[in-house]
Amino acid sequence: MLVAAFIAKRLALLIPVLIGVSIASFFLIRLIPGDPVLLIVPETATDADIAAARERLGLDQPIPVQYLRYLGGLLQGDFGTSITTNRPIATDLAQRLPMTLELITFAMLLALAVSVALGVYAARRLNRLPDMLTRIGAIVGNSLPEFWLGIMLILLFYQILGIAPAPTGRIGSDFAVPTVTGLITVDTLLAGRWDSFVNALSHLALPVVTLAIVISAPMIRSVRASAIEVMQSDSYRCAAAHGLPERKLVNGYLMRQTLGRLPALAALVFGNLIGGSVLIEFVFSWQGLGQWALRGLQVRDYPVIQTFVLVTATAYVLVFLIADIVQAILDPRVRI
Amino acid sequence: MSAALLDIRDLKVSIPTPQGIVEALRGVSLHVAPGEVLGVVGESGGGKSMIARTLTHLLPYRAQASGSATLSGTDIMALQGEALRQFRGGEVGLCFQSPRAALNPVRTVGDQLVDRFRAHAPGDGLKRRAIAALAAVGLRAPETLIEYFPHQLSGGMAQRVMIALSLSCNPRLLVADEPTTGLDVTLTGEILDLIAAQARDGDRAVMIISHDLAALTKVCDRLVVMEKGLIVETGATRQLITAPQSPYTRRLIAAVPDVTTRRTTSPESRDGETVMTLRDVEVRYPARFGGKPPPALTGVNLDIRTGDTIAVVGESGSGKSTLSRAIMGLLRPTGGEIRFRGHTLSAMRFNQRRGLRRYMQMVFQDPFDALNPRMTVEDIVSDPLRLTEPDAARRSAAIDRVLVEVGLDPSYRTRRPHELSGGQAQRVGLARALSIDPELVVLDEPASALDVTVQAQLLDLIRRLTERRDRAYVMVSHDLATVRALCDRIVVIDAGRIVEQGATEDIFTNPSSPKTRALLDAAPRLHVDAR
Repeated sequence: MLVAAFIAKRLALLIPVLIGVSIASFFLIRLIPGDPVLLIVPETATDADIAAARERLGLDQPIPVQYLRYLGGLLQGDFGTSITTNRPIATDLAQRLPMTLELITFAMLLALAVSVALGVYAARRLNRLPDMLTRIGAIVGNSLPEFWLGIMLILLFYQILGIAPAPTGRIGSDFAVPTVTGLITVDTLLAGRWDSFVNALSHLALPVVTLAIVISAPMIRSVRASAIEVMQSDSYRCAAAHGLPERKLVNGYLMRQTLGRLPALAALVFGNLIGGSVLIEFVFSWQGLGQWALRGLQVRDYPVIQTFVLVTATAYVLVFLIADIVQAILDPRVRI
Repeated sequence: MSAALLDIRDLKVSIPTPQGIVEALRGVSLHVAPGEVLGVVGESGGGKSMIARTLTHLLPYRAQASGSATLSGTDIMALQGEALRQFRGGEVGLCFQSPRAALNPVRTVGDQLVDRFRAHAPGDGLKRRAIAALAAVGLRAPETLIEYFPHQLSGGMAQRVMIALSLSCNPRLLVADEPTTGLDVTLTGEILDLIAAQARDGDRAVMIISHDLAALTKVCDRLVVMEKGLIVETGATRQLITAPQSPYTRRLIAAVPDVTTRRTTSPESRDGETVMTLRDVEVRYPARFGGKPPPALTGVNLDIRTGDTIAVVGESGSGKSTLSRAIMGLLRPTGGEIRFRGHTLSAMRFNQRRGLRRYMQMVFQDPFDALNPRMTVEDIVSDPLRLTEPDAARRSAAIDRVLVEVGLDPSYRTRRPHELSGGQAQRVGLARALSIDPELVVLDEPASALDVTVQAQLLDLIRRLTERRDRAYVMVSHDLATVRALCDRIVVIDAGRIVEQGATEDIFTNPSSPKTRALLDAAPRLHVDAR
């Protein structure tokens, strides 16, 4: 019951956050030099044509009026229409958001598994070879530009070894399935096409691995540091001094206490990924949210940018909510 | 002498540190017989804990140990692998210092007990055994307690759980490392009795490691005194206390605060000017989820005058700290009135109260927590001085003056806290408080984090300062013995209420409240007739 109340309270917090974020993004992007209308009218357009286009888009109104109209639309679930493509934002969003979510969720899960395993492994072999290798690996992973890493992986696994599919989106054309959820792994399973599912996974593999390598680095370091701290703590030493077997020490004492510190960092990393996957999407021709937002920014497509900012803010709030709940499950001292 | 259960011969432990190799133990030999309670006493850094850590193979990283240690013939130093695991907990039960840190924060008390049963003596009815183990250490309602997490336990309960965990697998030797740290005097006695009782039933033995000589004399058959990694004296408790051979033992004995020491000056100062009055003060902390918690402080009346030295005495959790925070204006009472220098402190906002800070200062319990490690002594002491003395040269002179006043050479100005001993650091804390010549100084257990011999010196300094009677001192303490020699008046506080207040000697000769009597009985003293 308390958990339900806590979740309700945090979700209610979304309302002021989103209003604040929408105001800030709405007014700030209009401060950036550049006029979207000039980009959509033909080069031969007269001043009258431009004024007509401006009026059609509602951009001739005072900015506060434009905002209230926008807000009114939002309340009815209408994100507006793209200035440059004339497509409803909601349609684009429904198509692109799942693609990005799928990519970064898989990357996050992989990175979590890798960083917990490697971080704890390294900590248990403190200052020995495996620990040093992990530390060096983490630093290298942290310093590699993700687009470069992506290209190198493509070069190796597609070009040279030929075991990965071409970086051309998320499924081979022979394996296409009808879109239901927008999540390709789910849709292929829903369609009952095992071969499509495998194909989708093979397309996911390289971008997911690339992202996971980059985001694992800070998490490995954090897990390793927490695990070292736990192993030097009195509670761990006490359990060892009372003769608990190794497996119990690692699972019941080391892991539980180490994991308790991970959710907050993981949430931050995940939040960053939502806006930060654009380079990877570009390298792997992934038609996700990042590419969409980047193009929107380049052509000053106001509704696109506004929606992107709103989606990112919502995701941050939700991800941190999940992280807090997970943390409370892992650590009885945390009350929610 | 009966055959020893534990036999340690010429044990040496050296620990490499960035500052060079530390010889923690320099050839220690001792033995414990079955049924015996051995006390190992000494000040911090004496190497006491290294003995416990050697017995459980928990020495610090890269530490080197040599010598021999056997427990009924088992060579402890040679143990490894599964034999070591069985030995730890099964043969030697180590009871850790500060149980709150040593209990696993994410597992319930019951699960932690069951973990240990499974490791050493698996079988049926583990939950029932866990309940029985908790009941055996005197915990009430053990059926509910097994569902508790460590953070839900009080300090005394946590220590009992710790003991239950150490005993859970029937070790032949129970080693308790500073088992009473952080416990108040009444609890200290109870916990030591419980630990010592483990040796009374047959062939088990107990080793208690502590800096608290007075507490050890109450329960130990034999004492080992350690200084700088060496045993300087060993003997039966009575003999060692009545006829100490080594100068270090004599110093330890002399440092035990004596309940019979009285304040030398008479409390004639009651005509001093009133600095602060508290009328019917109540403090309630906000509840987390609905419900109304009992007040942390209620119905408190107190007058503080210039020249007064008032002791606020109570057990932990009684409301002492809340009272000192209310006096310092660090929290706002939820009821009643506090007046200071003609201002109604209790009605003022935080920012307005801050303006009055220059007239009141506080000295904290742990000097290393209270001093900024990045600042030099000079910066630390001059920090509050900036409020009152804009001129740098005069400020500098004032720093020298106040350092001398607290017994520190002015050459210490350039040092940082880590270059100071505990006693020196607390003197700096005192100097910081006195630098701006406050009218009221609150001392929160100023000596309790220090080693006993240093404690005596610091309390002596405080006594000399208070005897000048130029300002008011409020000293918070759980220990009646130390305040007897220091304070004119004692305020005994229990469960948020003042249960007794009066002149120090009246309280000692004629305590009216049962709480006061309990505190007086629990006061540390050397027991030479107990055994």
